[in-house]
Amino acid sequence: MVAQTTCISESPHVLANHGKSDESLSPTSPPATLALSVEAAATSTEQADQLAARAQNGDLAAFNELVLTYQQQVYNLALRMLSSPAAAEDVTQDAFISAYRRIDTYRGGNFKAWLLRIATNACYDVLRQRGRRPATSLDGMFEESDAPPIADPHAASPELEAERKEVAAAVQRALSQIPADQRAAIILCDLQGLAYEEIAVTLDVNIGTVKSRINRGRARLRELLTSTGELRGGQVRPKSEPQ
Amino acid sequence: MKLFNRHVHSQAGEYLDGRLYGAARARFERHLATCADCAARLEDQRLVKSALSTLRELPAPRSFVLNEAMVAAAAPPPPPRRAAWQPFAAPAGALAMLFVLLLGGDLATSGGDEDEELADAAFNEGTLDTDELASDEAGGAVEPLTEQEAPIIEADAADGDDSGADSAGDGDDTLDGEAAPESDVAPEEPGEDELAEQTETESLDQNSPPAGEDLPGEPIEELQQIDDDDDNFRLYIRIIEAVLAAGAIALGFLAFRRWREQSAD
Repeated sequence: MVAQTTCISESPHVLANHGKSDESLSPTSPPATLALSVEAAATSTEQADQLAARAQNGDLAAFNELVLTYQQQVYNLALRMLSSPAAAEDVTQDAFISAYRRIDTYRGGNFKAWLLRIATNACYDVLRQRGRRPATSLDGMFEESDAPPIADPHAASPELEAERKEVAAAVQRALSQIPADQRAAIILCDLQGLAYEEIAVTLDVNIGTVKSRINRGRARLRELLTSTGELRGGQVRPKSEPQ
Repeated sequence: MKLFNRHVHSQAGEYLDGRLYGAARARFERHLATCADCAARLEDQRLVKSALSTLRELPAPRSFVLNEAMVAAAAPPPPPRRAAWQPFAAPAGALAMLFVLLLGGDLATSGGDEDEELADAAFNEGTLDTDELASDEAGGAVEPLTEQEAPIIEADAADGDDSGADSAGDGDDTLDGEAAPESDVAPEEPGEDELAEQTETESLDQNSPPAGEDLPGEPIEELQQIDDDDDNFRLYIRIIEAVLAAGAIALGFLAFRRWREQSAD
């Protein structure tokens, strides 16, 4: 139980005291966080728009600054969407090339959402191709253990890290089993922390659809994780409790 | 109140994601205290969100910075150019196919007009097939005449030879002669019934055959009307064919020009 608590405390969403955590239910904390994040996003959005404007005039160096800013986010979106590092790498590169070629169509506003839309559509294309060739769909399936080690100040012990990777692998497998549109909404919301409005722009749907996809996606994930034993009795990985 | 409840029931996700503020948040929290379903749903979503948090954001495995070569390689957008002529080719082919089908159908009907209509009539009669009809038409017009004439000639010739033998022969001949018109009636009956198709094909183009004389006037007018309609229909078909052919040629030409431009590049 200690191990689990430590593992979970790394995440912003505390699950040890599920449902009774005062801090997560505090009515004041979310607006404050939101205000901060909106302010930070506004600054970066302005900068991104300036760089995009320069890129529209053929300034490749300006565009490459945008690449460096967003490449990790685009890569992780593709990785979680496709469950394959190799495919994610290809999609990321293609998405940036495609974005540069189509930079004239960017009309300002939210460069990140515009870029993520290109990347999401590229992922949908890959998934569609896999659908036509189902035999190759599991080739190079991403395993969390393949991930390079991250220098994490919160990293407790090798055992804890091993357990987190096991849960993460199960979660990634479950993620790959839910419909692609719900998966994209979940990744953008729960992994990348985008606001509903940004997700709506990225996925080119209205806010209601975003809420619905997130709700349905989470419900489906819960079913899948419960069936594999990762979620039971209101806890993540209850089988680790006796240890 | 029900609508309000349904709305509140769906807010667990928004609440968890920190998207409910002020009065809405307070309302949901009051609701949460009384609604076990919503409490369970919120709990499920919280668990899933926690499970998802085990997926760390990984560093990019390499730099995805673009260089001039990559941009140049991607510069000519090949997919749309390669497919430039294709959008025209498919409709052109479809139009050409339609044209050929219509033309084929039209040729078949105009080439075998009489036969087809006779066959249609026979089919409608439900009693005769095409061969019977053809022979009846010919027989009704020609054979009875020769049968009728023959006894008369024979009788004339026999008159001079032998009267005794003649009486017997005459009797036979007259019987034959009487029987002949009767046998005429049989072919004529289908002939009358055939009026439809006979007049359709012949009465307007040629003088109507003897059988047609027995017809009342109105059916002919009706049939004439049908024939006019048929002619109009064929005219429309021809116009459609012409339009289809023109469309197919135009689209084919466009496809060819695109293809030429592209191959020139």
